[in-house]
Amino acid sequence: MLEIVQDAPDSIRLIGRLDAVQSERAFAAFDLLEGDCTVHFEQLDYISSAGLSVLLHTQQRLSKTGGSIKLRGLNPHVKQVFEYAGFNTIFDMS
Amino acid sequence: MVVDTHTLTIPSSTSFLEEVREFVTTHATNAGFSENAVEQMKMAVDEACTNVIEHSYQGKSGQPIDISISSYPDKLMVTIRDKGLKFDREAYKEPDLLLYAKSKKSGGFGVHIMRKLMDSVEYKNAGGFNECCMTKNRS
Repeated sequence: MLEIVQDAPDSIRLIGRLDAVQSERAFAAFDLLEGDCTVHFEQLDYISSAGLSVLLHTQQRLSKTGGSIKLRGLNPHVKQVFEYAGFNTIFDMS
Repeated sequence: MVVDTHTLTIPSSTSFLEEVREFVTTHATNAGFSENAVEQMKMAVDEACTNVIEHSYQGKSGQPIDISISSYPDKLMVTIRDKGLKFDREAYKEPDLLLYAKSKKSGGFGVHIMRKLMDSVEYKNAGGFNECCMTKNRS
């Protein structure tokens, strides 16, 4: 299961697991983001490459208009996935 | 010598990925692997099954995917078998992340991640089956 909570126009919280079965719904939610946005991962337990592609696509889209996404609160396993994929050099994950 | 083997067959739908991850978590944990190694294997098998659903079976649901986990004294071996389109290993190239971002595909760099997570990843085509065989060594 995945819950996507938009706390503010520039802030999204992910709760649960973002895998291939949830990626289409996540794409729809992330397509609404504009400008500089923050994605909160504190309650995300799992992400697969399908979830990574949602974030990568969003980052590319926002960068065309000077925006970006910041990733916050990643647990060690989720952070490791970003590192294995080489995404730690693409995203602001501090 | 095989210590223990467990099998699971799922239909080709991403809605069964959760069941696959639980299957891997249970048997990799019982085989004595660390939490971190279990997380890595769980994701690698998720990626392999996603690739089967999206590429071998081209999104067609209800086709069989057989998963087996065998515990050896020195490693865990996971085999994923399907009857879909042949995986062309020669055509596979490491993904360009920026080019990839322009599309909305969801399984394109799964193989890249699987190879990072596991100690070996091999593909075979034999007897009308595709077989992805992955191993994780005991450290």
